[in-house]
Amino acid sequence: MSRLLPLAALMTIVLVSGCTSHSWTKVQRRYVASYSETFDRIPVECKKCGMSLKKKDPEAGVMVLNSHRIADKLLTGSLINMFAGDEVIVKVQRISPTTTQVWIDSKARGQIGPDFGRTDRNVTELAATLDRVWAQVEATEERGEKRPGAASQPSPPADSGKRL
Amino acid sequence: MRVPRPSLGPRLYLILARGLLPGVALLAGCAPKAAVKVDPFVAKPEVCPAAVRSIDQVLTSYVGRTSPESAEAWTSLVSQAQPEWKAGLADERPVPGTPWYEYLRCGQDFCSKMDLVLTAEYEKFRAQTEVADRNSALRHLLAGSMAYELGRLQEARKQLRAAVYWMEEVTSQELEQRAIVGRSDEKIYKGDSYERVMVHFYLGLIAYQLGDLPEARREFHRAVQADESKPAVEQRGKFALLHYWLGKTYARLQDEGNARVAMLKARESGDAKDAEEHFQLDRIRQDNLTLLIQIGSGPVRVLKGADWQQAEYKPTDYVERSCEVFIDGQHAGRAQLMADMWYHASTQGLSEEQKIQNSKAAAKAVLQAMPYVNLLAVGWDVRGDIRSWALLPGQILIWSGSVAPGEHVVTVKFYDAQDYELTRYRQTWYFVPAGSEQDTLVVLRSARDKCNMHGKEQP
Repeated sequence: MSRLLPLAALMTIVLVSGCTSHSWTKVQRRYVASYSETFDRIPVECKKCGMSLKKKDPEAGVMVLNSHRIADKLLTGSLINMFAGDEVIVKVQRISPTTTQVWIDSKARGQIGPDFGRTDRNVTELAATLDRVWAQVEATEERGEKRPGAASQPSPPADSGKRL
Repeated sequence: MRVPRPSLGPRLYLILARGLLPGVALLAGCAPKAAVKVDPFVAKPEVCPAAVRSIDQVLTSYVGRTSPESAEAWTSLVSQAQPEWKAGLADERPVPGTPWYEYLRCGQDFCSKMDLVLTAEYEKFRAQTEVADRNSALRHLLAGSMAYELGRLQEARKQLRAAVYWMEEVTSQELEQRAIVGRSDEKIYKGDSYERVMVHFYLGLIAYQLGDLPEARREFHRAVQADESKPAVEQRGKFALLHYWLGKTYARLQDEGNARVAMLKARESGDAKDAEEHFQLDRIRQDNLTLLIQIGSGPVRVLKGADWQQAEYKPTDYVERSCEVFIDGQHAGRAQLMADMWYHASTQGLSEEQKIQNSKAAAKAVLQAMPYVNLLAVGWDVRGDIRSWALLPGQILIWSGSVAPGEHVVTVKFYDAQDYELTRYRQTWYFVPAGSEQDTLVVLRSARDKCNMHGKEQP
């Protein structure tokens, strides 16, 4: 028995290590919004999905939000997490002066083991809220135009620097 | 008498409904999404407007702005410009490839809506650079990048030099120690090795554009030195872009020996195989017009790991993949890829900081699994550092050629992965000078609607 106890303790540590609850879903969106507009609006809009701003660093492109303990997020399966709550991180990147890319991830503080999709919901809810604020653009959605008179696209000659 | 307890049933349902329904509705996609409003696209004319003053007149006015007798000419020129975009340009040397330069040459405003948005953003960031804290370098880098994109070379140089000061000279032992124990972004931002390379590279480019060749050589040298300090030993010194520009600067300084060595190193770097035709000394001597075209967005750092302990680079998607250059409407060739930021970010190697972060996360995981101690471990924040220079381009392309001396209309067309033209990305620049002896450098950055003249159409 005395030999089994340390072994069991070790097994427990091994099993739960790295199991801190973390959202599987990570959302990336590209919005028609300027960089500073994104930082001004997200702290306001996040309140609509039960979150509040914890910290923002526009120069680093990072915002950290706290997820509130509303009814369906109360029974978390972890006593510590019921008090500590979840964190949502938003990484903002400027693509062009009028286009901004937002990356969202969430983590349950102090929860070891599954969160039954709560952190995933934090991510999807925030993304859905932001979708109603700004129009989305996808990098892959934009299509170029065929060159006039060309049935198929010819590869232009790599004659860089020729004498004109 | 017992008072009957109110039934919890309806209230419980109400609480659950208030909590669950919005989430379900959002997940089901019931919420209306914002619609995309697209401005019409009006391309900038490819026919150059008539010049009202020559480049020499503009530069003479600019140079004479500090002397009392000539200052009036420059002031009157500046005062006629649009108030939204002239602010801050009065002390900037006009350089080709900017609306400011074109305005001074022909008196017409070719500034797009995109430029106005960028100007407003820049003013916000510039105001924030007064604050001195651990993120000061980042603020200066962002402001410097925006200023450079707007063609404000003096301002960009000032901001990037301030960034270098914070990245290379300022240290705080206290913040460093806090970062070792707790969150990794508590310390003063120093940037990754490729970011330190790029800040010196841009300072070198600015000096080159302003004609300050000794300063350009010093900055390109510092960029090479920064590249030599990256963690991955086998990748050190393999940055063809730096050697190419160092070689170009040496060639203009008539230092043939060093220019030849720099070109050899550029060829041996191996990260710009498409552009090898540029790494010839004869080619550098012969070409009198160079376009440096920045496309896309650089990699972004995101958190990973159970405790967000690691920051990893992720490539950014962008639609433009290649570009072609037209001089006076004539096809002049395709720009060649000379540096890919994703390649340099992803091959720079694992830093000491990343190893420390892994150790911290492992220690936290063990503590969290222990009874009672886990209460303390919850509050231990070991988050990684995801700060990065957000405005770096994805790729840097070069076109250079020998064109007839005089002024030209330069058009750059951008193409997607299928080689279809992205019409809204097209850029046209007037009055680009090409001398018979010296090289003209024009630095451009791709952006949708950069040259969209919507709202400025002729009646």
